[in-house]
Amino acid sequence: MSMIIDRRNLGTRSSANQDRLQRRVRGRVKAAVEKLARRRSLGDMLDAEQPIAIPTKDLHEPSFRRDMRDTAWEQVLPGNKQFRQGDLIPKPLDGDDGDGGGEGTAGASGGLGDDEIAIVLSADEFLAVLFDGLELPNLRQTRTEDIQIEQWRRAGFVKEGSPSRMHIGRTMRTARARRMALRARKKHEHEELTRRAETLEEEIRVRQDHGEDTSIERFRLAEIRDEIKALERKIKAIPFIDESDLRFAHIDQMPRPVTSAVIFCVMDVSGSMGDIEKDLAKRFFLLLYLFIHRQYRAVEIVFIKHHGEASECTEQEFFGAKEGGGTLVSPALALVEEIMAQRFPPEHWNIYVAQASDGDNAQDDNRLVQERALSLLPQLRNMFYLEVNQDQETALFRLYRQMSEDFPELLTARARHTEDIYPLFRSLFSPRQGAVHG
Amino acid sequence: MADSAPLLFTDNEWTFERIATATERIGEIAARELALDTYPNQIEVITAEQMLDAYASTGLPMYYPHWSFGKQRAIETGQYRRGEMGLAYELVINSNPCISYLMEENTMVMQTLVIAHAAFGHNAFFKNNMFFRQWTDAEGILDYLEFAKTYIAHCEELYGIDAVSGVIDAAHALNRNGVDRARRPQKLSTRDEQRRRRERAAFIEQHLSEIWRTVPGGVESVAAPEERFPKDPQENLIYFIEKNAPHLETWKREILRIVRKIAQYLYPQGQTKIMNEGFACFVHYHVMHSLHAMGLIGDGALLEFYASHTAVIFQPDYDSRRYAGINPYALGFAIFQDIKRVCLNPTDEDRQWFAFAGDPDWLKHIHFAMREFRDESFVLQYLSPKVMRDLHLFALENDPGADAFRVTAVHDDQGYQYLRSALARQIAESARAPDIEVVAVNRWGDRHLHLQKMDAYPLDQGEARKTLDHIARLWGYDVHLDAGDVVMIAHAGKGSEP
Repeated sequence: MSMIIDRRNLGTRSSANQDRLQRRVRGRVKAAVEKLARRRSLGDMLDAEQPIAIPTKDLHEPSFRRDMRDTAWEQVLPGNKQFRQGDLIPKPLDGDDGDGGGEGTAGASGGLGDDEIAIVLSADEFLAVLFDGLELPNLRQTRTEDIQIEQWRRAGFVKEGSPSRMHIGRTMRTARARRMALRARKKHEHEELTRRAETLEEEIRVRQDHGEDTSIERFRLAEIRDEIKALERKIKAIPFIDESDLRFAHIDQMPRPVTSAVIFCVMDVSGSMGDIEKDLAKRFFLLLYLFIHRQYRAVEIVFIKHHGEASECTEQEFFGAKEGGGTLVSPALALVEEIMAQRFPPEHWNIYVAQASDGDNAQDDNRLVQERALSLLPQLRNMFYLEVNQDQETALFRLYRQMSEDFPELLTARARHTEDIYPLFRSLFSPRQGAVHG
Repeated sequence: MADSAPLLFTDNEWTFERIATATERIGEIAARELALDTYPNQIEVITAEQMLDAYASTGLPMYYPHWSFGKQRAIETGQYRRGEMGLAYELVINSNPCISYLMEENTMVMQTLVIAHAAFGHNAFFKNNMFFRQWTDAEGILDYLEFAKTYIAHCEELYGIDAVSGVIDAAHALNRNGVDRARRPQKLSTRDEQRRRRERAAFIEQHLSEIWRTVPGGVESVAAPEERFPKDPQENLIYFIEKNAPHLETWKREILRIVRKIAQYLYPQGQTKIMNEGFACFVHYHVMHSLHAMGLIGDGALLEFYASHTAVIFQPDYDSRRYAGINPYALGFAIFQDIKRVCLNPTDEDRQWFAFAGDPDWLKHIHFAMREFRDESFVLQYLSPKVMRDLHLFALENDPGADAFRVTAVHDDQGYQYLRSALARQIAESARAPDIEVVAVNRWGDRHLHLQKMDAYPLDQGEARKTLDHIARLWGYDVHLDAGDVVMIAHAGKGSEP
């Protein structure tokens, strides 16, 4: 009695083991991400699909094993060629070249042994561990139609369309196929007739040599030549391009959710921001970027540095810049709003603003900051303010914190040391934090 | 036979109908020509991914989750993707009904081969081999695995994944030292298991306080040290800890028991690898030829079969890059084929070596060999001079003090007996874990557990120390291991246990 079952659609059952494995190596993964974060630039982190290797020695499973290296053993081996009983075979000088000789019995059961075989976690998987349990707080409630936008998208090829959308490649391909198909048979016939004509010519020549009559053959040859001419005309008449060949790229309007986000990183680069402060800010921005990137298909970053005035810059300039002068925050916020209006209309983008500063803002600017922020906030998903300094809360920090009571999507935090950043990030994004405001 | 019999298949695509027909035909051949007695078959078609799953859990169809299986899978997936490792064409489980997995990538010829090999060869071996009959319970295993999985999931809920994992880690470290080699285990039954679990909890409480009664109390009676506990050394470390660890919570004891039971179930597979694979190869070899002789498979199919068959039973020489020890398929198949040859075409040499040489009832002797032995005794009984010559076996001795290895025997008249017992010894040793036994528990002092290495082979000390740490975590007090030249001590409280 036999039963045959198709189990293929049952899927794999490894996820529970996978979860536990990741749990086990979480410390490693965090350390590795930290290390990457220190070394790499923001964008690289996500391009870098290269996995993180975890040495299996971390995952070592000990057991009582024999160690046959320095002991007497005897082994039976296959494939003797020239040995006789009593032969002596010099030992290899290097002790670790044991595979050929002795290790077989001792190691065979273990299989993988202590080798540094790496376990591969994809970048995605370790980010999942890193951001495990975190969520974007106070995500502004959006109506579904806000998330949908109509967009023209390519939708295959059609036979009719406006000349401007004609697809040359496709059209030529169809034309060629048609020409070949129509010509093939006629070419065949043409070859056949040509061959018959040649045979006839040969016949005529031979008969002439023998002085025989060739009139019938000549008549027939003339007939065939006419046929060949007619065929050649027909072949020529096959148009290079026909109306039926035309192909047009088709586009169609499809609703599509907005899956792109933009992060405005705003940083104070005035003289009071030192390397330590910038490193703190960088860490924060990196984590934020990675985290937000997990929620959306594509994330753009706009870097804005400011001191007395604000300007958009590259990532290198952003973290490398050291400019003197006093600090004014409001111009930076004004620039954010300006860029938003030009390039990232809020109805098509999920917008985040992350600002880092030592909070050393000119007193009379804070009023302007409040104004700017009030006009900005309703258009954002979240705004983050990270204050990096060694001393007291500043007036700017207090201002933001006060505003956050009316705008829960505004989140404020202070950091002093590198190691503050990740815990701070966790507390900002752990769901409980949101609930307090919600 | 029937020349007119239509081929089972002409192209090489498998379908479920073809698999069903092939299974039926193979079943007929197995019964008529080989008199195989098998469990009912349950043949399951799976994907490569699912095969990797099965690999990760030592072939069991269901297992409790643990990170080590995830690790195993990650390693194997990597090797498979890089093309360093091919997947087995099949996997078969010693259960009733006997479950065989076929991979969907296989051609129809391969499926036919695999059905003969696994669903009939291994299946018959599981059902009839003395060792499997005594040590494993094909009836109960699936239910038991289900029970184990549920129980451990329950524990994870109550005590947390990390706590459960810690206990499993420790138990796995002792996996190979958790088998009763001399005692037949009880049958597995899920319902009994539930009941017994409750009884056990009560019993252990009582029993433990019995052992430890004198400890915390101020009774300073020095009369007792004569009474050794345990009376005799105990080889099953998991069992001993499960029953006697002073403060182990009941659920941890249960987990130890589960790991131990599964280790016990898997134990015979390591003891009969050569025979099991050899017999399965013998069966598929016979069946494929019969199918061909009956006109059920074509010449092309037979050629494809030869290609896979020779790859499976290929034995690389000791000096080849591909050498990875004696190939159990090669040795097992060679010996089983040789038993048949000795029956049907014996030489004078065979008559000297084997009493059954020339007995035309070869099937009887194949069955006897398959039923009554395990690898060690099988080689000792049946390895013939011819097979030793074919494999060009020789024995090499290492004296750590000498500059050279010495060839102690080769495949010639002086060497046969020696080679045969040397190989049997080697097989026995490699299938055996280092012999570490519990010799004493210090009941009157610091409660340390005293272990002793009983065999002559040196231990890997790094491994041993890490393993001892696990034991100390379970035992709750210090653990001493007398390893001959060195005494190792693991302190309790180093690990997660308070």
